[in-house]
Amino acid sequence: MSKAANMLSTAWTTLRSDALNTGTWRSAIPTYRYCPSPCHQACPVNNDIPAWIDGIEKGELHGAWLKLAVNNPFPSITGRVCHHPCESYCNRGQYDEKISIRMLERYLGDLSLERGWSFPAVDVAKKERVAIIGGGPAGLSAAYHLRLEGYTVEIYEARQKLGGLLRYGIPAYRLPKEVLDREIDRLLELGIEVHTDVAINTPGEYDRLQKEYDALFISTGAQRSRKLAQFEDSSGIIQDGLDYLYKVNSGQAPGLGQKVLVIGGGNTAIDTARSAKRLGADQVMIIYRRTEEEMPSQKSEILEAGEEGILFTFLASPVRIEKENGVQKLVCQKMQLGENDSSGRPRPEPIKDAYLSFEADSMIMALGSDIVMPKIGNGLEIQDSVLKVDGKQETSIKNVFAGGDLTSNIRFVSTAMGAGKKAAQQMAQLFGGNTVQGSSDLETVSFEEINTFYFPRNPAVVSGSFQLVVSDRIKNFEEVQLGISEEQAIGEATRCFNCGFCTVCDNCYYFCPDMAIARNSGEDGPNYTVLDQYCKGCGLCVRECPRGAIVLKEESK
Amino acid sequence: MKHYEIAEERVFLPGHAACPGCAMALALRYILNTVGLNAVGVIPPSCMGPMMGANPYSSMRIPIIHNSFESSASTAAGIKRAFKARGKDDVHVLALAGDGGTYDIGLQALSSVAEHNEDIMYFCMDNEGYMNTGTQKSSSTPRHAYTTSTPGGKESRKKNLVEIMAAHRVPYIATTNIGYLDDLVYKIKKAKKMQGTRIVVLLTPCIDGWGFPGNDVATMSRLAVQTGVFPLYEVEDGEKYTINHGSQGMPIENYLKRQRRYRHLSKDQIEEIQKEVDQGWQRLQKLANL
Repeated sequence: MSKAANMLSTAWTTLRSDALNTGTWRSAIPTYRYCPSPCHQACPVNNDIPAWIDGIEKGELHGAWLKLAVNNPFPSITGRVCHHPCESYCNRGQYDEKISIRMLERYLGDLSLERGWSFPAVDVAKKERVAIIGGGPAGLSAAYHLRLEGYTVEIYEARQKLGGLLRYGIPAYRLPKEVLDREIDRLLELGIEVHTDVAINTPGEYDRLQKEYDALFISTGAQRSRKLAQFEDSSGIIQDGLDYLYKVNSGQAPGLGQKVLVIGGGNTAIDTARSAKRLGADQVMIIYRRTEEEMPSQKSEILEAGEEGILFTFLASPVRIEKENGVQKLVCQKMQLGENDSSGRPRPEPIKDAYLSFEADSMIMALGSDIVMPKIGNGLEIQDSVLKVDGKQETSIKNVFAGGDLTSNIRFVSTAMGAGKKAAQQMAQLFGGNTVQGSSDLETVSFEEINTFYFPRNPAVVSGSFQLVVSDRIKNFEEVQLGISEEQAIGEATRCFNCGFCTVCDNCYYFCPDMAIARNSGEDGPNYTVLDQYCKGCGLCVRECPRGAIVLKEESK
Repeated sequence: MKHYEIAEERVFLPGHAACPGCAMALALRYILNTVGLNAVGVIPPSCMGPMMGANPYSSMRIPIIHNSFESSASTAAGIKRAFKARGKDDVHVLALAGDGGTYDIGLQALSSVAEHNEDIMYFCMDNEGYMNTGTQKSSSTPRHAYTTSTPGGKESRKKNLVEIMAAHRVPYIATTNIGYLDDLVYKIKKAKKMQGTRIVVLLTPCIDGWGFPGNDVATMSRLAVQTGVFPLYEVEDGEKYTINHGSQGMPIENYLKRQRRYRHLSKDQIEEIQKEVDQGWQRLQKLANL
C-alpha cells in the first residue's frame, strides 16, 4: 500500500455506530406496564373499559364486544340501568367532559343483539356442579362466569321467569323486556339448566341441594319491603312499592285513582311514581323526608321524573291518614336537616307542630327493603341487616356462597353482578380451576400521566343522553332513553384517553432519538421491545405516550 | 387521537453520542431518514460532530464532510456543483449546521449561496446558543436568556434569520420542530422535491443549555409554538407566507418558567418578552395576510 493511500484511509469512517453500546449510559429504562384506568377500577364487574373502547375506535366492533363480554354478559342491560361509577372517575372529566361509557356499552350490547352474536362456546367440561338460587343479576352473573369456566350450572328461580329485579322491579320504559329476554336467552345458550317456579324455601330443600351440588350460590335478593308502623292497619289505600312494580311488570297493575302519593326517595319510589303516571294517575307526588341532594335515586331518574310532571315534596315525613268529608288526606310532619347520621347523610329531624297534608286516592310505600334469611343450616349470620359473607362472597357455611342484595346494602345491578362474578371466581379456585383475579388493589393512571397534546379539547359527542319527548313518554311504557349511532359511538370512543392501555399508537417508537424501540409484528406478546443496547433512559417515550402505558424504572445492579 | 404514520429510510443509526433525550438527534433522525441514502452531508463544528460518532464509527449511513465553521453553505454548494458536473444531479446535498454556524459564523456563506440560489438543502438546528462548547450566547439567543457569556441575561433580541433569508427570495424557507413530527416530515419532504436553496430552521430545545428535564424536549418544542415564541410556518419565494402552527394565546410564562436560563427574570422582563412575542406573532400574521 502506498503511503498516500494509507494516509487517506484514516480519514474515512468505515464502521457503523450501531455496533456501539449506548445502553451503558442508562440508569433507568422504560417499561410497558399494566396499569388499570380509573374507570376499570371503579367498575363493580371490573370491566376493562379502555380495551373495548379502543376496539370501537378502530371499528373492530365484534372484537370490542367480546372484550366487554369477558366481564359483563349483559351490556345491553347495564348500558341502560347501571349507575355507571366508571364515568364519575373518568380522567377526561378533568379535561373537558367525561366519556359517556354507559352509552358506548349500550351501543355495543344492542349491536350484539341486532347482529345475533353469541358468546364463545365453552370447550371444557369440568365435573363440579353449582346450584344458583335466585335468577336475578347476581345469580345470572355467577352462572355466566362459572359456565365459561366449564362447570355445570343450574339456576333455581321462584318466579315464572328469570331476571329478578331486572324483570319485576325495573319498568319497561327503562329496560325493555325484549332486551332482557334476549340477553338472558343468549346466556342460557351456553348450556345452563333453569328451574323456574321453584322456590327454595325450606331447610329440607337446601339440604338436598347441598348434597346434590358441589357448591351453592344464594342470591334471593331483598324482597321484604320496609313498612311504617303507624300505617300497619290502613292497608286499604296503601300499596307496597316493590309489590306494585311486580304487578306492573307482570301486566296486572291495580288502579290507583287520580291522586297518588309515593313515600320514599330511592329508585323504587321514582319507578313507582313514573309507572303510576303512565297508568293514568293524574297527580303523582313523591314525599321524601330529606332533600333532593340526599335522595339515593340516580340523578338522571329524578330529572326525568320531574320532566314527566312528577311532583316532589321534600322534608316531610308521613304521620297519619285523616278522612274528612269522604276525602282521604295524608298528614306529614315538616322536617329539617340535622347532624350527619351513620349513613353519612344529614339526619332529618321533625319540626315541632309543623304539618302538611295532601289529598290521596292511594299511597305507595317505597321505603327500601330487607332480606329474608335463607333457611339453610344454623350457621348463617346477619351483619348490617344483610347476610354476612367474607371478602370472597362465602358465607359461614362451607361451599355456600351468596351475593347481590341479599348480602349488600349497596343495591345496584352491577354491584350484584360483581358479587356474582367474584363468587364464581372463588368457587373456580376452590375447585382447582384457574381464574383471573380482579386487580382492585392496583394504583390507577392519573390525569397527570395523560399527554393531552394528543387529545384536542372536544366536548362529548354524546352529552347526557337522547330521550323521547315527554308527551310521547307518559302515555305508555316505551323506552325513554334512546341509543346512539355507529358514527356517534366511534366519535365518542375517539375521545377516550384509554388510560394505561397501549393502543399501539407508535408514539414511543417515533419519539425515540436513539431508535431504541422496536415494533413487534406478532399477534401475541408485547407490542414493542426496548432495545437495551441503545436505550439511554431519557424517558421521552414515557412523556410522549398519550395514555400512561409506559413508566421509567430505575435500574440497579 | 392523531396517529403518526411516517415512512423512514434507515440512514441515522443508534449508538450515536447525543445526550439522552436530545431534540437535535430526533430531528436528525427524521431529516436523514426522509432525505434517504442518496445524499451527502456537510457538518460544521456543532453538536452534530460528536453525534456522528468517533472515527472510525459513524451514525450516518451517508458520506459526511466536516467543514470549517464558516463554510457550510458554500461547501455544500461546491459539492452539489461537482455532482452536477459529473452528471449525478439527483444526489441531495445537505448542510447540517447549528445556530452558531448559521446566525453568526456561517451567515456570509449562506447569504452568498442564497444569492446564487445554489441547489442545496440547508438545515439549521437552532438551540439558541453555543451549547456544544459551554452555553455561550449566539445571535440566536433570545433576549434576557442566561448564557455563560451573558450571565446577567442577554440584552439584545434574537436575530430573525427567516426574514433575512426571505429577503434573499430563496424558493423555500420553513420553521419546524420535533413537537410536531408530522409537520417536520412534511416540510422535509416538500423541500426535497424542490430545487434551489431550501432552508429549514428547526428549534431544538437543549436540555442542558436551557435547563429543563431530560424527557421534556417535545413538550418544550410545543410550548414554544403554543406561546407564539416559535411559530411553524413556510415562506415560498420570499413572498408567500403560510402559518402551519402558531400561537394559541398561551402566556409566555408557561414557557419561560420551565427553563433554568430564564429563572432570574423579573415580572417586568417577562412582560417585556410577552410584548415582543405578541408583536412578532402579529407581524407574522400580517405577512401571511391573515
